[in-house]
Amino acid sequence: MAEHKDTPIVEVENLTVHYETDDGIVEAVNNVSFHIDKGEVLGLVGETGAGKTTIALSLMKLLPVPPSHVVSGTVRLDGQDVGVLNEHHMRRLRGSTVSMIFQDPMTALNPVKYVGDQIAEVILLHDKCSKKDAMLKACEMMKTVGITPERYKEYPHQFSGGMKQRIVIAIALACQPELLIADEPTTALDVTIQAQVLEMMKDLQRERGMAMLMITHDLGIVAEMCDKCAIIYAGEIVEYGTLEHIFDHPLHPYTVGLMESIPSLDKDVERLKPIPGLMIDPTNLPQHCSFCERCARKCARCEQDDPALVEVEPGHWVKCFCAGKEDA
Amino acid sequence: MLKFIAKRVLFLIPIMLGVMVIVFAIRAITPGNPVDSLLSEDATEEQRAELTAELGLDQPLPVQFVRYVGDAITGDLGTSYTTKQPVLQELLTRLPISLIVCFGAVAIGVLLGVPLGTLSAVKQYSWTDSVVRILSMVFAATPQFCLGLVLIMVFSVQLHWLPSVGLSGPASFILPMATIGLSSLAQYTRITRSSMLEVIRQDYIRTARAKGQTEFAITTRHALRNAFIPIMSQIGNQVGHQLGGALIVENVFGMPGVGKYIGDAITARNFPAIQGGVLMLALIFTIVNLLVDLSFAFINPRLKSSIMNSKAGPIEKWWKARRKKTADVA
Repeated sequence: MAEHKDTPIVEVENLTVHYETDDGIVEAVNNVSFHIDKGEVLGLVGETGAGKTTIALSLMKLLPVPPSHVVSGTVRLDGQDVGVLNEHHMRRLRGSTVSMIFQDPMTALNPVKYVGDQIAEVILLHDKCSKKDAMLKACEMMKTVGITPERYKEYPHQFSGGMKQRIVIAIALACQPELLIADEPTTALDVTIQAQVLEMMKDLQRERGMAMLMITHDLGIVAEMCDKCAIIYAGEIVEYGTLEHIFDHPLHPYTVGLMESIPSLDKDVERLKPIPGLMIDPTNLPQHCSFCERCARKCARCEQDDPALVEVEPGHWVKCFCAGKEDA
Repeated sequence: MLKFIAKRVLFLIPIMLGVMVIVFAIRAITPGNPVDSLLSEDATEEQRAELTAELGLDQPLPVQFVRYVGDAITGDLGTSYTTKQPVLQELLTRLPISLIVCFGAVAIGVLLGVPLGTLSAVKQYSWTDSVVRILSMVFAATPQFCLGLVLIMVFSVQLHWLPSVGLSGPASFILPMATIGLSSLAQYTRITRSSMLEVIRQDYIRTARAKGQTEFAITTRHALRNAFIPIMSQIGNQVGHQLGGALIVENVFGMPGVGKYIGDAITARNFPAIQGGVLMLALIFTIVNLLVDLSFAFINPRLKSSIMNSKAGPIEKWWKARRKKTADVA
């Protein structure tokens, strides 16, 4: 799939984003690089506060300008450098080339507008069509996500959480985007609805062959949906590779820890196995490896230098000095 | 929806009764006998007794109150002590003037205050924001009579654009409206600003941005309607304040409105006029607030459906049963 040599839909190079607050500078994203080819699904995994949403919003240039500040790096959407595009151009890309599904469907829809109109709005903005055609297309989209178009003239509060997320998905997909950013799309839903929504997203992604950035902290979702996966810790990618690389032979101690913390169905264990310690304070990142305080395999060098992300095997990148050395 | 309206209209009854108790108490508690203010000092005891009986003042207070309520319901607000005219009639000739000034002032306040408050919120901490906030605070901090006099100085005395006092055509309304409107401007800009600041941080605004919507459309179509509920409540309150508080402005501009009428009545100890005027203002205030409440249903669909689905109360149950019975008979 990665063989055909098109320009990737997204290329992120050395992206560094800070939030400048009264309490200091929050180093939310540090020197992150990745790319997503057309039709490819990349999973972005990390715990809360790791900088996942910041990365997603910077792809759409939707970060609130104060306090956020893109310190360095470039983001190219479909070959165009987002950093130099003006607002007018960005608006044309948003919703049509790249669109986004947000974490909480409860608050992502405008409470005083018909759900149908909220879908039609994005169609009206990007497709040159009449209002009536936009409404018809919105009805089509409602059918696509499994909601009867009779509910066009209903308000968000008349829908359940799962149904609202379907509407949000319909809005995101209405203009056939080439890249869909899904920011923890199922976190706010209960488990049975999660499965339904994910199933639907997977089908739609395959059907339309669109690329996707799946942000989650659930490795199960990654295994289910993604082609590649990036593990992110304290605003840095610590491991990047295909699903086989990440799941079958993870090399970074953090990834290993994440894998071990998944409860197993066939082993009878008393307690879950968490990664010891807390996420490091992003206002005060160390010069050395940011994971070393929680690392079970740290060596002397880890407390002095910051390791670089190196390719240990084709397509598998790890940011750790010790990776692969004592891999057992 | 009709049910909700009916319920709210029925609610007016206890409110108005409460107002009547207070209004009635004004006269009952105030020292001094209305008879003294009506008759000259050299009136005989007989004349006094006769007038006391005529006014019903010899009856015990509860009887007087019941009679007062009964008269008020039938539209008899008594006779003015000074002009010997029915109070209701006098009020009705003055009411349109007060209402025009009041609603004109609200219109000025809202039409200036809401856009300025929105601008202030969208450009938070910019110099625009500071200018809007300072300007509206200046208007709010200036007493109304002072603001009115300044406006007269500028627009009547210096520029000769508008008449200064009295009622001589539609132009006479402009300065009083502007005075009250500008002094309430701060209320509208502040409430709009804070309400908008809350709304523009909501997730659905981010969703609208992610759709590629323009900032102008996001502010006007997505944010403003959500921000409007506190603004509507403010309008309801302002109408009340301005109707009652128009007294000073009506005096400054010599407008023969309800405010001036009540003011004159107070100095003359003209009790029926005071009572009638207060009652009238209270009625208008409650009706305006009823309308404001109803408007919420149109602004916020969540309220609308809760109103629609509200459980039937005893009166509605009775009414439904009755309708069913008559339907069965037919």
